[in-house]
Amino acid sequence: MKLKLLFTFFIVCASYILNAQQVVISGTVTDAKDGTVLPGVTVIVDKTNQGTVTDVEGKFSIKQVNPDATLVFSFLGYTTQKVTAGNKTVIDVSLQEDVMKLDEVVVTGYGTSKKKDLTGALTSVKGDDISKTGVSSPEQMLQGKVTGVLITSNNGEPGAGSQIKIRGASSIRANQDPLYVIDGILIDGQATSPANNSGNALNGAPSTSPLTGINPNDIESIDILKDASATAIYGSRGGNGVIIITTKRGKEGASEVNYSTSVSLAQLPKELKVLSGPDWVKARYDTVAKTTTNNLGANTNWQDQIFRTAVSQDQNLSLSGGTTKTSYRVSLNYNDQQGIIKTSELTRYAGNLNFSQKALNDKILFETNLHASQVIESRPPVGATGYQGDLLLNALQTNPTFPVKDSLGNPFQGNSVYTFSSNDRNPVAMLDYTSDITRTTSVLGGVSAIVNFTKDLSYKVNFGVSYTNANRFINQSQKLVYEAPTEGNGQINNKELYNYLIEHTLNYSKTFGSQSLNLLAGYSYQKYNEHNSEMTGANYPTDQILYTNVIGSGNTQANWSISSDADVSAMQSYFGRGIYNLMEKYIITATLRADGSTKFGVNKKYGYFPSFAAGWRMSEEDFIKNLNIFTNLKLRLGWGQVGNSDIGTNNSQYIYTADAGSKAIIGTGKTVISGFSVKKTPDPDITWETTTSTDVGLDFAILKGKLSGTLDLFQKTTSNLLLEVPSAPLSPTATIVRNIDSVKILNSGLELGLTGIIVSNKDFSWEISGNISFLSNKVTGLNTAVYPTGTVQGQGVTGTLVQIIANNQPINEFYGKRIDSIDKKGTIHFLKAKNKSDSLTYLGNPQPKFTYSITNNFKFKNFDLNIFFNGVYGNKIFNNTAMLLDKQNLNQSKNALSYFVNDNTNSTNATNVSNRYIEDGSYFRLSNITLGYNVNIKTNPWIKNVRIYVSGSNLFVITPYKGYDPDVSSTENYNGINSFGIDITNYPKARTYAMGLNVTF
Amino acid sequence: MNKKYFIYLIGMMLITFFIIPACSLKEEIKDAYTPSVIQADPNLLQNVVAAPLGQLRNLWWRQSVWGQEECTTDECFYPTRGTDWGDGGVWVQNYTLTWTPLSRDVIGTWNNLTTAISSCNTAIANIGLKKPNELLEYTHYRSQAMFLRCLYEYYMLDLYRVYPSRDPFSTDFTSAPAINTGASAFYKLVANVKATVPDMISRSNAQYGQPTMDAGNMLLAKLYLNEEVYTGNLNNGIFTKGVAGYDSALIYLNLLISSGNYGLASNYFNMFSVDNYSNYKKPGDEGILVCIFNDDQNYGVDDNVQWVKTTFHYNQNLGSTFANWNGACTPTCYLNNTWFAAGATDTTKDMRWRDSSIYPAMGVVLGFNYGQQYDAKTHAILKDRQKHNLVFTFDVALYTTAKNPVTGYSDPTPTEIQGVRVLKYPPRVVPVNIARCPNDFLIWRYADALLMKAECLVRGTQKDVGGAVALVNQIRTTRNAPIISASSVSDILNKIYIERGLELYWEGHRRQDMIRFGTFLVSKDADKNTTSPDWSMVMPIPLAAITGTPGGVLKQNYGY
Repeated sequence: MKLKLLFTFFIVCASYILNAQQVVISGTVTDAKDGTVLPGVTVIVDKTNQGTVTDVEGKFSIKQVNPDATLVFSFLGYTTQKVTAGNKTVIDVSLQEDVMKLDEVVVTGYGTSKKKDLTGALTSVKGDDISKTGVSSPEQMLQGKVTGVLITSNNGEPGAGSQIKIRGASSIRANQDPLYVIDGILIDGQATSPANNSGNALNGAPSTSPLTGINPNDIESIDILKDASATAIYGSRGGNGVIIITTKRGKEGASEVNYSTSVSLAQLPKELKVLSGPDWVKARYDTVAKTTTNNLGANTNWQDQIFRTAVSQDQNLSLSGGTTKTSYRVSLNYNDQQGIIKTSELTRYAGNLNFSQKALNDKILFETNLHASQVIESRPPVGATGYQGDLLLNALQTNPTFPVKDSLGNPFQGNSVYTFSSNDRNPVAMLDYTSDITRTTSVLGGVSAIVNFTKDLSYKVNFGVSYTNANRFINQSQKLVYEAPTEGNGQINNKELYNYLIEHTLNYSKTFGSQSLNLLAGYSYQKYNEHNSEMTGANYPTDQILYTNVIGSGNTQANWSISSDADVSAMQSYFGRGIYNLMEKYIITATLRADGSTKFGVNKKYGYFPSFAAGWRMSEEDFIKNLNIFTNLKLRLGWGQVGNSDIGTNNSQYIYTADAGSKAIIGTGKTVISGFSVKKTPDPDITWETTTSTDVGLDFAILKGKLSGTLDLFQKTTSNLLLEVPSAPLSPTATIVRNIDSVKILNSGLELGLTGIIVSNKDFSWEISGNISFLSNKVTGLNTAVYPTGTVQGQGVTGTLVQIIANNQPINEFYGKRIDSIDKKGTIHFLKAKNKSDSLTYLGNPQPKFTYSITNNFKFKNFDLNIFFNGVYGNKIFNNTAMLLDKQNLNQSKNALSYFVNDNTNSTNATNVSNRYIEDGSYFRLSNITLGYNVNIKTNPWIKNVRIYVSGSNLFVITPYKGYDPDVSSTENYNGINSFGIDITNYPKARTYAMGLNVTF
Repeated sequence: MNKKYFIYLIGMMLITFFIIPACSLKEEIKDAYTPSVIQADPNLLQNVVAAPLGQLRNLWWRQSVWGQEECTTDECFYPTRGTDWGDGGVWVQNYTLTWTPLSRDVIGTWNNLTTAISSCNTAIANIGLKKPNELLEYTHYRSQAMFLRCLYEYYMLDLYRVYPSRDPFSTDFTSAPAINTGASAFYKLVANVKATVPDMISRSNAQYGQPTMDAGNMLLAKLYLNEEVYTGNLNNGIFTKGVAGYDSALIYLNLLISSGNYGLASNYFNMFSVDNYSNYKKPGDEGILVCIFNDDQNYGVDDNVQWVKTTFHYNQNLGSTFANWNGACTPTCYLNNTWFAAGATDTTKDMRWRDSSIYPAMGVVLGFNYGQQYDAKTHAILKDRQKHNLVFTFDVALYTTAKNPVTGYSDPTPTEIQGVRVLKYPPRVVPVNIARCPNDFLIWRYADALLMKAECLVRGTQKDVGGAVALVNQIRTTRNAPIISASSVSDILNKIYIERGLELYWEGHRRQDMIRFGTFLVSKDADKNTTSPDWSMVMPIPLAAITGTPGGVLKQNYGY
């Protein structure tokens, strides 16, 4: 025992003596360009575990450094610098900004990678780059920013969803939306809005975005995985691309409080030109009906009655910080967006808590993240028309000689001169007497633990839960003439979505000399649940109390209805990935995922999704270095197969439902006996759609990094397409959903992104970046019929379709009658087929030939200016709104578009779906311009940063399109087949002016 | 404990803890019933046969069997009116017999019928094969499902001349069904009905709305009445085969008529009234097979079965809250050839022409509505949407070249006001739900059986002109119409044809009658002067059905 003590004493003494030769080194790290201090720079002693991080003032201090040691200074976005310690006690370092950002870390799915080591097609967008401009949704952050990603807003309503197509549409029937991964939790892009079936223009209102609850200010980065070599790790859900959203976490260092606020005004950029009262009276008499009837003498601009200048505000408060063991970030967000149509409003309350804790001598890292939000949406009846029309259509078509109010001050709904039928709708009455409120509560949370068994081997368990509960309350007052038959209508619809996820991953990472190897193996189980319920009441004694507060108080039960449905699906997966890096030059990645899903038929339970990719950093080769041209040059090759498993549930089961149509009524007492119908024709072979894609990419930088870019060429083939095809006769249903081997969708394209630094010095810098994406898309192998889709709406066109899925044509090609001539009397004649019937022809592609954007970033002293243009070219839009406002409307005492009234057609042409309403949808938009000023507050000890900015969005758009805005697409589908590029009185996009303040303490 | 091992232990615990619960990929069914649930419970027998009976409701509307049997004829059509009712030409296709294999109603009707047959098969499979000494209930319900299957097959035979059949106990839907065409399809169907009828419930034991032995006999009579059409050769637009079918039909008609279960209604329109179920088993009950409707809840046919909405003008509210669509009306040629034909009837007396009993409440009449229309409550003159007087004209045709007398322009299509409107099944004065119909639909009724008998008497071997005249007059007397006489077979046949038009208009029998009497292909539209090709007597088979049938065994009908 004594011996042991003595031995310990000697050891301690010896180490003291050894340490005496080492010194303490301190210093400050600054930005080489403008001299500002850099907090959070990692300083490590090379080849040891010793290290520290610079503090708020950029200072560091590191003990016990050998004179022959090398200090490595690394910081995200800056070139790593190495300094030999020598005998120095003070080392001040200024870091050069890394213009190529090759060391930037991007999120790749179950891991991260340095940008220079990537082999797949991936684009990363940093939250801070975009949230400066005060956008209110994650989709807006991405629009036009990323090559190969086409984002089309459903409409301009606050919270409206978007159709996101990554490298083109690769499915006809299954979902075309990408997979979202939010802080490691996989979310399918399912709409969270409860349905509505009360009709009267509220029907089929477009779905709002599933991301509405996410506060853009909390987003650290959005990484878009585009090709199969990148998305194969997500297997059967990677077919439409993957969008990974990572939220901000606390950083080591002193705590930081950030407060930001903005206020904005939004307006309708342009009204559609319909006839004024006097013009209408004249046009109706002169050119149409030779009649003076139905002129009530007013001159009402109905559009003025429904649009407004909308005021919105956004408040954010966040608190973050951390020590070497613990880090945290808490944020609160209040966002209130008014829409430019009266009564439309979205209010969001969001809270965010991210927390990390290291334990057991840093061997275990616990991480939690929790996002909770409540979104309250008030929606006017806009977005679908039906026969009678929605608010917007009625604002456009209502007789301009009608007064807004009647003699009692209520919205005019007919008088002794003009009796309203249930088809005439005063838009102001629709606004005043309708309320549609949706409250969506979402919680997304995850807990993970990373256990570092050894330096090379770590294990991670991740448990995540996502829960969304949306309640929709619709009240249509009995004061509406069209609600009179049912004496008002109240409806409560609920949608509950919840899923949980368990994942285990093992990660092995080892460097052997000039080689390095990274291996990942994982298991994942995820269960999705959905529950919908709906109740409708009617025949209320009064509308003094909101119907939905007393839904059972109706006078009779004849118009009541209740229903519910429930759905569950689960997926079990095994996956692995290996990355081999040789000399930082040659990188090979291979992944494999096996997905089993309850949705797949018994014969096809598991699918396997492999991918291979290689990267060659040519700029590291001597023969390229010797050229002295390229600062960076990398060639990427990738191949992979991914799937789309969004195929619905219960497709392989022989099961019964008790639906309304299966009820028998028996006896003079009319007794109801419920019955059973087979729900679907079962298909035991149903399985995922497979997308095989090949990508060749080139990353380059020349002129010392002043010009850099990325070029990608890709080809993507989707096979095993899921279609609803006619079943063999006497199947329980007329159609069956099954995979058709022969049908393929081909997408191929070219994407180019360029960034040029024009000027870069201390006081002034100017950077331009631009991107352009070309895409062509076609369908092949449809052995038999074509698939019509593209529902249009309106009187006399019920059930008419304007799009088609046909061989060798792009998806959703427009298809219909083509005008051959217009005779002297103004009668429209369509192109005839041999049998003298009107022939149907292809009328254009709703998908753009290319999309592009240009960004200019200026910095002058403390000012920064960002100008962002984006555009699309070569797409067609079916202007359904215009079709509903053609000259024929004057016959029915309704209003029409001036340019139709003044053209050479007559008013007796029947309404026909034809190329008359198909327009060029190309546009070039000044999407955003933001001018910011960073207040110089270096003298203030407790304020770190103050920034003020003004910005304008959608300031102009150059387009031949005659509707409100070309960036629209209604979300209609026909028999489950998506349509695209149809403008049916879509909520117009606003022009927005904003100003904001951002303070960091 | 060594820290390293402690970490390993925690890691292993986490792995085992979370991996174990996950495994099964069997699909959970949350909101549907499985076959084992249904077959396990004998109390569900009536529920098992509910679906095939419920499917019957789907047939009686403008886009299904009723639309094809009625709106392809001279009795009813949906003209395109300017911007209204164009809908890509689907309504005009029905009327001009110019469907294609892709036409909406060709597909919709086919799907209604095949789905209904499949539903019968499901019911039969769940009831199981006939066992010796089984409960009578099983026999009755099974035969009910089998009768309904025969009924749906009969409509397929009538419209498409083909019906598929499939083993009800098989759930393999990838193989091709048996395809029945030609004369053998007819004989097979007749044999199946004959095999089913003896097991069916008698009218005395049946509930209202349940298909009985009488309905089975009527189906046999309907089949035999049209045997020439289904199996014969076409000569100059008429099918000929021989008289045997009419003699057979007569057997089943006589069974039905002599049963004493039915009589002619003394109040014609009372048969179609809102509470027409109350006529059941009362004197003058004509209902041989009825399809029960109600407006208390959604039965899957909301807004489909609209005897009112699709007909009356937008500005007619029927004294209440109806939102009408201004669609269907009666072509001029039908009125001229039937009601206004020399000696056909006396419209001032014939109770089938007009009945104004609902006029005080609703401002419209039962039967034929023409001339100026008035508001139900204020009795003010109604206007159309252009503020012209709402005067329903007798003159209406699909296409018109005449100048519109009001606007002075020549419209290519009829105006809002053209065409006589027909009301047989009136709505409630105060509707419970305007999307629904409470009136029960009379699929087959006694007057039809009497007229069928009259026709068989002269078309069959008997050539009993006097007997036929007596039967026609039996109806005419009850309907307060002047009696007729006839001198020859052709004379009485022509009068039976007219009488069927007077008695059964808008009830879904006209297409069969016109085909049997050789008038179906003749132009119904005075402006057009064309005759349809003979294949138009059979509808095309939907393209989807042909491509969806494995092995190419389902062939398109001749001409398409």
